[in-house]
Amino acid sequence: MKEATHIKPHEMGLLQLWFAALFHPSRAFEEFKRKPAPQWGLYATLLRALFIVLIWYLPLYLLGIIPSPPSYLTFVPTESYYAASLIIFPLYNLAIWLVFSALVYVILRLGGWKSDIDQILNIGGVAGLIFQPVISLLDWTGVVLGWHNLPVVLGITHLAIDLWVIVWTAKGYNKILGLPTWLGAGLTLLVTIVNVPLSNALPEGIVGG
Amino acid sequence: MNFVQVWLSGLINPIRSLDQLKGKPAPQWGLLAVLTRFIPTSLIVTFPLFLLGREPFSPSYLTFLATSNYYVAQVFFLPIFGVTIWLLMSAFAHVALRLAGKGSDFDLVLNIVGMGMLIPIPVVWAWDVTMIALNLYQLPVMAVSHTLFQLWETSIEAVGFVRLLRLGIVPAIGIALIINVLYIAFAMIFIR
Repeated sequence: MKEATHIKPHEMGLLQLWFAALFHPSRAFEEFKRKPAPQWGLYATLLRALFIVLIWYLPLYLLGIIPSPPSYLTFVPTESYYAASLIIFPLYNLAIWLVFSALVYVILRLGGWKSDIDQILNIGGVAGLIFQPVISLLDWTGVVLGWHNLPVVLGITHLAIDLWVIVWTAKGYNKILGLPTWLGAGLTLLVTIVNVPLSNALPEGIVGG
Repeated sequence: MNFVQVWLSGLINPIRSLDQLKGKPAPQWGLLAVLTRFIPTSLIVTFPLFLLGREPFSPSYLTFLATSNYYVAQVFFLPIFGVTIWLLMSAFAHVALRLAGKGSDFDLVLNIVGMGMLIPIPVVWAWDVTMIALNLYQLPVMAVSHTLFQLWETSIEAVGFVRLLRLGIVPAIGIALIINVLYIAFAMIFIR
């Protein structure tokens, strides 16, 4: 019997892929393997930055809100922090994506594990994008409903989502790079821990409003 | 050639030195190069400046780090900055090459950028220590001299991209220039 080799496997659309990534990660990772790398990681990183700028920094800037904690950078006055973030945040986001992907790669190589920088860039970039709508939805719900102790509530919800991201990324490293899940989780945890003080000191930090 | 021979021969003949980099452990040599540059720099340049009670030429850009304490803090964070900027420069070069449809080997890129950062550094150390000793460690002199050192580093990295990644001269110089502009931008914010 002749095989139907001309039939291409079904390719998911962006929205399908997003839902699959959130709720059926294994299926999504099969799809991600076939995507151009590191292009998808870059597009995801740029898209995430654009999303955050449009849904968070731009509205805060237009509403004339001034962050409650002062700016940590002397050349960015607190009064114009959100305006400056419209430009600084995408650059910062891009730099963080590159540094953390390279860090994961180097640790894996030094440990003698299999490593592929293009796939690491793709997994890291896509992980940032996939969870951002969930984070932004929670942030704005909290702001609009005026939740009591907003920074604490947001801290807890962000922590919960961070754990979700760690598990998701570890699974990605396992499916795409063949790494043990504990190693993927450990690396992602390390990156998350390094990122917390950095993102608190630099643009991502001042989100309290 | 061992690591030190590759490093020191790069001062005189960077083409021969970078050719030797092929087949060496990567990215281990890149990381070793970066640490060999930044740990001694913090000990033989930044630490003496702190001991002499000197203050940076330009004020701190970080509100949580006073200008008067900058050098003592920098003794500790300079190596971390060095490794971070090495990762950023290398990853940027790799992604730029991949987007341009050029072949790239990230291990080699990490080694090229690391050795590019290390090769000129004995001259930089000798210069900085002499300037400190002669009390000439001052803004115009240091700004001009360090710009020249940065151009030297840029040219070594460009040579590495040409010899080891088989890039054309123009793209190699272009990428080396861009990643060194990145270095300068971050160094201007964090390093004094």
